[in-house]
Amino acid sequence: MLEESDEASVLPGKGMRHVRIYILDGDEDACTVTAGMLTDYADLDLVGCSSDPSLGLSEIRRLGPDALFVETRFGAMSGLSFCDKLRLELPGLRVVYVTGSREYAIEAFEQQAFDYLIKPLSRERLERTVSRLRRFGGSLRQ
Amino acid sequence: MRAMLIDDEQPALMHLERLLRADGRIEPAALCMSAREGLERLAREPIDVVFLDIGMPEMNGLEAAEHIQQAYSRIAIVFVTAYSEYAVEAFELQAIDYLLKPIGAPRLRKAIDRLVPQGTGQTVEEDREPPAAEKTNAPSAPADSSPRDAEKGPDILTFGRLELADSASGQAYPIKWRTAKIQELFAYLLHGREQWVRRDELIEWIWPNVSPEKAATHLHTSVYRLRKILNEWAPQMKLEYRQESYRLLRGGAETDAERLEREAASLAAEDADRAERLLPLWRGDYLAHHDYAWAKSRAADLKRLCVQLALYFAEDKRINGKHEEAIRHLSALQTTDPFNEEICRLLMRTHAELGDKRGVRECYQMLRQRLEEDLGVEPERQTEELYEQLEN
Repeated sequence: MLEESDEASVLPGKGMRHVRIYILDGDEDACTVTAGMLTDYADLDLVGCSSDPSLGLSEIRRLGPDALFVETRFGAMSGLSFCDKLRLELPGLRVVYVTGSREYAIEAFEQQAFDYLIKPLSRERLERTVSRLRRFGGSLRQ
Repeated sequence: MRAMLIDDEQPALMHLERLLRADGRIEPAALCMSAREGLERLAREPIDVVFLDIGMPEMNGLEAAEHIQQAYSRIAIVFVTAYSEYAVEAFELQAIDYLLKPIGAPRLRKAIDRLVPQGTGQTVEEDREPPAAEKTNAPSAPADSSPRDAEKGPDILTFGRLELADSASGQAYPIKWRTAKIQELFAYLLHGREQWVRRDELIEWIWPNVSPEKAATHLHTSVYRLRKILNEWAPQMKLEYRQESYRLLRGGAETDAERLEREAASLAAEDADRAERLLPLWRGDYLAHHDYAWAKSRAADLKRLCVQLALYFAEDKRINGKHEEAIRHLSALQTTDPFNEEICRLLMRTHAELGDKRGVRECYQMLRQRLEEDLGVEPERQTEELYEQLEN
């Protein structure tokens, strides 16, 4: 499965473009951690990052990222229903949950989330998500 | 698109096969009863997607998925399981979807939508099943069942695998029991329903082949650790000791099995809605996952009760003209009790009322074959007579 992505990444300018990512997590520190790990990948564009869902929502609408890294909860608000609504506006958005709880994974499958990562993030696990994003997440469709 | 179906239970395989054929977009090309068989056939047959059960003996579905991923990364994987707790692992294995048994046609259709590129002979049929709202808006439960029962799930799950759960969300806690013996100690005390259990009895069941001194130490250590675990996960429960005996006070927590027994005992006639709410409690035989010898007879009783409830519920659906739904429930029920002729008879009757002669025949022949091959017997006379009558 890796051949495909490797091939894509060594052919610059051939349909290949950076994957644009937005991070939304009520916990500012968690945002920073995720952002820090993602900036290690030169071919990912971190277009924005917020700990406030309503601010995040307007930025996501404006920026139209390819993928959203998002918590399953912000305070009393459910990250899943947030994404459910968001996907109606942005059907192509890849949702990657980054969360401390395992309990929403089934629901995440129901809404066809792209991935579901458990905090604390590990580099190897993130690597798999990123390589799949390279493959599917940019302008190229699955 | 060609699919392989892997499940160690034949009725489950056939149920999924039937659903796939009804949908028509994916061809159920290979049916396998073990992961090993599946992997062998993948080497020879061109397959695009594997529908994979998780709980199987020898090699489970998660392991199998890992093999498939490594050897054939292009094959899509869809998990089909009675267990909800492996969804995170399923994401790790890059599964396309995760379906909970019993599978219904609408949810399967959604999964197929993800597998099959849009616009290729897709049939949109939204009205195959009544919407969920129709069920929940049905007349409410009788006054004697408290709102707590209606809203919340049980606190302790004993069907299939033993787990403590958050009753509000129904999610199991990820408890680390540390050793199987600690878990069994908990299970045994739980089984004893807050009664005092003698120390000797515990040792006899849980540490049967250990010298008395060693067993005493094991018991002591396990009690100590179990108390710590309870403290963390279920502080309302107390493990007490008095005069060489132990008991587990639960602080009001109820197991799914007890809930089922209690509610079933008070179930009035024409109360199919309540029966329906009870059915999802069943996730497999009582403590089946752990294979405790002391749990077997209660497991058999509970299974009988469950099958009765499900039959009653399916019969109610049939009478009310909801044949498709009745068939779905009965097929799922056959998975848990493949030799039960009463299920088969009701299934035949339901197919017959739909005018589905082929369904009747398949149902009968499957039972006949199963009985002959596995038990070496013929169907009961009642079943034979019904079949003849429906055939003509």
